[in-house]
Amino acid sequence: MVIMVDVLSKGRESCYKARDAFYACLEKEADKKPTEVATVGLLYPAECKGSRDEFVKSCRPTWVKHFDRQYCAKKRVKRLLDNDESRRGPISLPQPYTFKP
Amino acid sequence: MSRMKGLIRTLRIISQPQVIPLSRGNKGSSYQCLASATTTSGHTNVEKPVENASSEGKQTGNSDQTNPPSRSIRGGPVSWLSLVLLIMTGGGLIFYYDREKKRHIEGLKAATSSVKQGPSVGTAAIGGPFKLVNHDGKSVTEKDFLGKWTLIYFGFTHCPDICPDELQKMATAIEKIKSTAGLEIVPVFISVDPERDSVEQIHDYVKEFHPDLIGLTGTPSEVRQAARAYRVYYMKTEEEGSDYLVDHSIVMYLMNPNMEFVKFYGKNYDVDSLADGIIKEIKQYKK
Repeated sequence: MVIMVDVLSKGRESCYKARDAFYACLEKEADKKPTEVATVGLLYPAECKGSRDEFVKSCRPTWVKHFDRQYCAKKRVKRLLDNDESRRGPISLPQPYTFKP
Repeated sequence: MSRMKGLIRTLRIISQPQVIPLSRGNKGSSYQCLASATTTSGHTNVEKPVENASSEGKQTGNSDQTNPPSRSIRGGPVSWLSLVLLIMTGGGLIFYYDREKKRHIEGLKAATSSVKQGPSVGTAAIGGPFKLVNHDGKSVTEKDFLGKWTLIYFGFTHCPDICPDELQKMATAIEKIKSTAGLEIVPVFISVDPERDSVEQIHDYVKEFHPDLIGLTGTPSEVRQAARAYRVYYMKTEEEGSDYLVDHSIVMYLMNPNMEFVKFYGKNYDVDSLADGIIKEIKQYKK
């Protein structure tokens, strides 16, 4: 039977490297608008297209999906743990009048 | 005159203070004297002897008053002796109960701090006979692992990152245990993806991690039987094309030389805690 070489350590290592490069690019360009579509709902800016192609080439498609899913979950948890108040809490409306007793 | 004397005498007897306990003292007795005197006699020529009698009564009253003080203490409900006895009894009772309570607490503390060795309702029913093929193509059963401690991990070779990390952790822990405690543990990797993990595949996979790592595979039914024995969950997830991932429980089972289940270690254990945990279990088993 054929031995799948890409799941052995050398294949894995190259896959991990490409994956880390892609996600580092994502972090770096986090302020750019994500336009390109990755898998499982992940979007990324066009600047990272190069590393994305490298990533997809080095890893099996199921692995790509698996890592994307993992990255999204991690991002979601980080957003929950972030103390960024700008996206939370009730909106304070301006008072239409000032009450004078 | 003699009549007068007799009258005085009777008056005196009447007017004398009562011998029954009278702690009131002189005033009361003299009042009684006067009261009794006025009631018993009506005519005036008795007044003078009444006065005499009262004065005499007073004197006798005084003499009588010296006795009543001792009589009144003896007859009262509270005395110094009874107070002393009360204090002694109270103190004695307090000491006694205090000692009993201390003894009870000591008993309770000893009962809770005594080491409760092992589970009191038996061990988990994990493990059992299996028949698989190892990475050299040889058919093995669980009997081939008797006599040595084994650490079993279920996974599959096409795993993206979890299985490699866990196997790496296992290999490092095995090495660490060998160097620190000198104990030999046999690491075993059982594939839950028998359709893709052939003997050659497993062979190439396991030799990258550790030379002692034994890889096991088999037919799907054999693998299913082994996974059921170890209560391992695994499920194929339908992915694109011909590739798929297998969802499975991430856990390592520590089995003793009789191939009986001892403890499991999940993903939350890192290399050091895994090694320490295994050493602890082995030492406890040997005791």
